[in-house]
Amino acid sequence: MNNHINLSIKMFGAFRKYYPGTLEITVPFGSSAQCIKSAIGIAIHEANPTFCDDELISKSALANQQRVLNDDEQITEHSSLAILPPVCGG
Amino acid sequence: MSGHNYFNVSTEPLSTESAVKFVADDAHGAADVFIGTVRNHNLGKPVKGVSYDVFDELTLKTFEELADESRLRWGDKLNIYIEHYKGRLDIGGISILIAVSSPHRDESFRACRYIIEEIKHRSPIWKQEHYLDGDSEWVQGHALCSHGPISYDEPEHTHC
Repeated sequence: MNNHINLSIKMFGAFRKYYPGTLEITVPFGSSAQCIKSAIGIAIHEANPTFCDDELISKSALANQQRVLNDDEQITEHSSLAILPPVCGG
Repeated sequence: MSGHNYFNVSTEPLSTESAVKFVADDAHGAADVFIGTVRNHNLGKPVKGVSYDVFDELTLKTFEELADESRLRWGDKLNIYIEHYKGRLDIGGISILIAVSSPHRDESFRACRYIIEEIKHRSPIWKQEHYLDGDSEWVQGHALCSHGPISYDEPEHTHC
């Protein structure tokens, strides 16, 4: 049994300057949104060493196309998600 | 009968005429329109334009939630139009249009204010300012959270 899941992560706002496009990562089955955010930070840094903004990662939220996820919410299937930095519409 | 909605994220110029026309209603005595535009400065830096990035699907969900919440607060007859621009705008360009109509003016004023304040905190939209010196910066904003209304309680002043 494969105990890892593949995630496609869309980038928005300030993340676009570090990683344009969609980031593909693999995380352990049942990882929390909080852990996935950390994994995203590491993956962006590996792809672009100029990225080292832990504060941006911690202030950002993980979301699917329907809603923003709680940091303690667990992901148990292959998913397309988005990392959302602090917002400022209007 | 409940009012009607229009929600959109557009890469075409926004039309105030379309917004006013959409919310017009013979049974309504008031229509309130909020027009957000690009200003030529921010925090002391001269700005020449702004690029808007939008997570369309989730933004439209938040517009729908805000319309539902507005009707719970100010009545189900409200007609509501919410449209946000996506892409680059020069100074004076319209970034957001909100129009609300209601039988009496108080409801449309309050709902319009509620919707713009909540969008600033809840809709996944970002802006990148382009400065006269050639530099560009993503504007600091509000961290998203997974629960509903968080921000609006008749604020005296907000600047963002």
